[in-house]
Amino acid sequence: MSNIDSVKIRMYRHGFGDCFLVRFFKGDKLSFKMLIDCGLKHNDSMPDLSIADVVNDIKKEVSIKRGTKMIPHLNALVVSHEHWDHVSAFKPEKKLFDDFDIDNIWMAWTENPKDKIAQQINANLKRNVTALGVAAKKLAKSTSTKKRTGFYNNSFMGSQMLGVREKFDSALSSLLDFYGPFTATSTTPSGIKIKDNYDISTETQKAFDHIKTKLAKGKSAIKYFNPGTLMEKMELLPGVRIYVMGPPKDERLNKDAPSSGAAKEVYLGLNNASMAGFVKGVLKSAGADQGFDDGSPFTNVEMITTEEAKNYTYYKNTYFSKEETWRTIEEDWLDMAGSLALQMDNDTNNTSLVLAIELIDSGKILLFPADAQVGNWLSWHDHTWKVKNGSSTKEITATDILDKTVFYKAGHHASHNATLKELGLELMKDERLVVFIPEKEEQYNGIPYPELIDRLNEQAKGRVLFSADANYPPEETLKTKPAGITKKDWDAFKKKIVVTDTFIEYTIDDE
Amino acid sequence: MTPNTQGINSETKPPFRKLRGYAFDPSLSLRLETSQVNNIVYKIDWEELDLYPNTTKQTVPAGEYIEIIDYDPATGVFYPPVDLNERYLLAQDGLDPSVSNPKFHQQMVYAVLMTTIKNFEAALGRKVQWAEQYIPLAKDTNKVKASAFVARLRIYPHALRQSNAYYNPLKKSILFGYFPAQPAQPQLQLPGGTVFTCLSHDIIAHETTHAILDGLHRRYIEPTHPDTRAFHEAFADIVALFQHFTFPEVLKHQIAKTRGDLAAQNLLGQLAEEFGKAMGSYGSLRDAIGYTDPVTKKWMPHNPDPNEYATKMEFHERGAILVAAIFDAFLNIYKQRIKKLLRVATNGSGILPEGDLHPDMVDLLSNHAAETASRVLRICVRAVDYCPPVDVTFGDYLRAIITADLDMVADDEKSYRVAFIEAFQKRGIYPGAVKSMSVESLAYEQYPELILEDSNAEIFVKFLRLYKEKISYLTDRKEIYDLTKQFISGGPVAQMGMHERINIKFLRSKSGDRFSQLAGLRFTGNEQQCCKEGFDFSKFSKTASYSIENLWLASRITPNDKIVNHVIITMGQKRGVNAFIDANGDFKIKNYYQPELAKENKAGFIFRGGCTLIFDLDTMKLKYAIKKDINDIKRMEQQYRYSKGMFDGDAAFTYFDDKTLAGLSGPFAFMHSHSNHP
Repeated sequence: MSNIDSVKIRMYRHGFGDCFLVRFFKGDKLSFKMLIDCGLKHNDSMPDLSIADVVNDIKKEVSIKRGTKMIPHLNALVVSHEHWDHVSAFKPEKKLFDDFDIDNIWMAWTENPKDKIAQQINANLKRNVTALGVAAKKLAKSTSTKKRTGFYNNSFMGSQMLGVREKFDSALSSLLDFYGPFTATSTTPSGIKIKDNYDISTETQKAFDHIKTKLAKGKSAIKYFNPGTLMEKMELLPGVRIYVMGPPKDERLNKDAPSSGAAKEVYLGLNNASMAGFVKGVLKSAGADQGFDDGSPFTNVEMITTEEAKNYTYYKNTYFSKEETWRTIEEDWLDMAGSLALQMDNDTNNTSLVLAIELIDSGKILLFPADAQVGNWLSWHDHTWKVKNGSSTKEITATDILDKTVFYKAGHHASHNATLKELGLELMKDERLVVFIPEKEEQYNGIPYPELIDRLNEQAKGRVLFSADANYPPEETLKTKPAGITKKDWDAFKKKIVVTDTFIEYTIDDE
Repeated sequence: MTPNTQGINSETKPPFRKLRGYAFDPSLSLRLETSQVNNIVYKIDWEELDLYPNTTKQTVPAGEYIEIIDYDPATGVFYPPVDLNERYLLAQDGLDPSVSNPKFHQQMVYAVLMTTIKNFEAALGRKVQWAEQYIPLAKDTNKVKASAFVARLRIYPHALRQSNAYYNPLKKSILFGYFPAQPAQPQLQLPGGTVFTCLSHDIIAHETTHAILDGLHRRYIEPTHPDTRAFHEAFADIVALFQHFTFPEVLKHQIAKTRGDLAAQNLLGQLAEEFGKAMGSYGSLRDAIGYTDPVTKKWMPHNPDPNEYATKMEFHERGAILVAAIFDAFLNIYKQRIKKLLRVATNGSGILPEGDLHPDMVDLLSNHAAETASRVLRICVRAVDYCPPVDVTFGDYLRAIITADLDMVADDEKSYRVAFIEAFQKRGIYPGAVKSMSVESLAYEQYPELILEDSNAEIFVKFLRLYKEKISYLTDRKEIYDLTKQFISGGPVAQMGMHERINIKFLRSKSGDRFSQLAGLRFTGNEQQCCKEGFDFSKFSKTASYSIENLWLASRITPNDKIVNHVIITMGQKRGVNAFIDANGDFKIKNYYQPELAKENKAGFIFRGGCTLIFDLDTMKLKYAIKKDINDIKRMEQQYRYSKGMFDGDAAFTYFDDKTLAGLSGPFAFMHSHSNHP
């Protein structure tokens, strides 16, 4: 039986979002079709390439003949994590994948409905998304009220404050976008729309549910992977090993950045508790009976509601005095929403399913870390994978895997904290390294992270290709040979690359 | 005045108001061994409080400096104000310390804030004033129409639902947060209980210090150097830490645990760290003092690394270096002071006999430690008067400490100054432009020659003396503020103001160039030239525009009972700079622009210079001129490179840049709140 001898990796160019089609060949024969994620950031689009176009292109490549019909077929659908820019194409209304025949669906253990920790994580996430939505709306409303009543015109640096405020509000909603458009059904007394029981579902979850319930049909089964798992000797993937590297199953899940300064080792301590208190407070303020200690930090003490207080001379002369409006603190507490949003975003990124695919004969490895951040990366080094080489057994470490990586899908669209330095990129020493970055310009401040791009270019000797960033068009990149690479290597690389308006494809031979 | 039947004059106010409070954090009350020392009595200068409307006796917690308004916007309620004059309450030194009584929270906040304010006043030799409120022009809110006196800092003990508290300079308010406990050490805090930041001495003192420092040097919140933000943080923590150590009761418990090698005195470092722990992320500022060995569980001091200052850029880590340096100096001074005691107690061996320390010894040692802490606190606070008004660095601060101390204590027989220098040196903190790390070179040059015509000098110093005369008997802070304004800008009492006098006596005299050199400011007289050099032109001064930011009288009594009378003037100037880094990586200035035209120069940056001039009223001379030169290209480069690179590694950058977060609630809001982000 012959082994897989080449792999084609196709990165789609539909905007800010991940969609990778990975096809494994035995000679000319297509043996295994894997799709890793298919999503586009909310409110982003490319003029001539919709996500439906992408799915149509996939169909062209993966359809097989069943009787008289051509059926799109995937051997494996890998869904890395719950972010809209990775799953939007699975939105049920779109029905883009409904006619697909999918043999296997691979997800991280964090999606396993039977996993106790996963349940907790997801319940928390749900609450947090709700709270964030509430806070974002309240803040936006207050900004417009203050604007209308002239607060900003009468405050020193007011116009700047307003600018900052509006930017903050929009940054908040763009973070919410990761969870898909915010859906709501009923209106609370304070004018905020949320579903009953706070059981709101974000579009991301709907997309996930759709995958789990509708796309997983017939003989296909969902597999939830723990880190440290090794897949080998698969019938249709002879000569291929797949190492499951993340997400971690320990506290590192919550770690999104290297510890230092104020953040030192508090990621599971006070600050998370602090978030919990905030979330409860927000939900309570929207009418839910969820605040800690029944919504008040005190029991059995005298309290005067805000409405009542307006009739007290004392408060009229102080807090509600017209001259003192500049010192009021109605929304200050809600600014915490920024931190909450960041934390949620990072936490979710860390639930990314990370796969390293090895072509055994040549030892080449393709690394797909999705949006894994620091904690996820660090945890790879906690595992070893026992592999058999003939009669001897060898323990493979993350360092070995990184050392042999010849293809790297840049983590989290090449943001600053999703490619680990010493224990990550610096260990990718293979001379043949190629990097693909699915990303589009001006979607997020700091993405891509310039210093990282520089370092990636050094490590990969200029073999770095972007999907949709107008500042780094692959057509241009391929025109001139970078300084650090020999002509021979550069020509060899170009030969293996196909660039169209729809995708960029790289062929790796197992040699 | 009629003596009442009790034999005391009913019109005589008591000197102090005694209020009970937590010495530590309430979490420590739950630990048996510390429970007995956790409650202390704060002794605060008596002041009259505002009356509750339509009552004759009931008060609200609003006095000369602060007003506490207990509004909890998340819950949507007000907690009624505590009446600190209530007679039962007076009879028992205030309310019982209690986590579950918001009125006690107000009392605690009041007690610590007032203690901090009074400590500052004792060290500075004048009243504490809050930063002014700016009233904007209606057309352009970035321009100041007028500035207004802020009588009271507003305090909100329950404003936030997060493990954070901050001073908001836009609102002149301190907002405290609370959050459900989920402690690292579950035995210390009730899981599910609530932690209130307004019950921590160190957090209250820390935030108060931010507010006071902002009132002293309002430019210090501008991040122009890796040190500026770090300094604000470190200074706030230094005040909190040493103020905490001035209570001997707090130290006794820890010192009584001493065994064996008394000279090691690791216990105090450990205590500093323990206070820090109770503050959550605030505690990170104390990380550089020492650590608890994970294996032996013993506290160990950190060996300072001479590369620390050059390599650590994140502002908490950087601030921690300064905190550790000051703490190191404190420990060495303390060890020096107790040497004799130790010899007596150990028969010269330095090793204690087994068993508990003698209670008298514990008393002696804790009193010494508390006194030393109080000295160090005063030295640290006073030094702020000797700092330049902009772009302060740790090196500047060291020079300020040395110079200030030299003014107070002529001969350093207890080697305080050497202790400070050594501690800074060990961490690689060297001030620029200093030839050696000796006291002589670190102290600022005394009496730099102004080369004024005699009559000018005399008139100017006489003017300062008049200021002293008029201001020293004022006790009302509003009057002090108004009169000081008058002395700066002119008015009936001062007649011609300082601004105009500087214009006439210095700038337009023969010594104009020399003054410009001493002050590090540029007084270009030609409007077109100003435009070219990047200064706004002042029609009033007929020179490049500059500001007089502060005018202070400092009357201090030295430990030798001498009275030091200084008038301190701080001046500032700004210019717009357009710069770039060329292909060789060198810093190049393209041109300058007038700050007024900032809107047309979005790519440029505002560069500030300034000076602190200290006049000695006894010798009638300028004693020190401490400057940050407006012409310093190197400093421009530093600021430029720093502002370009400052976001490195900051996770929040991806979505919220630094300005966004700072712009919401001021720069202090996110210093402690970066939950997961370095």
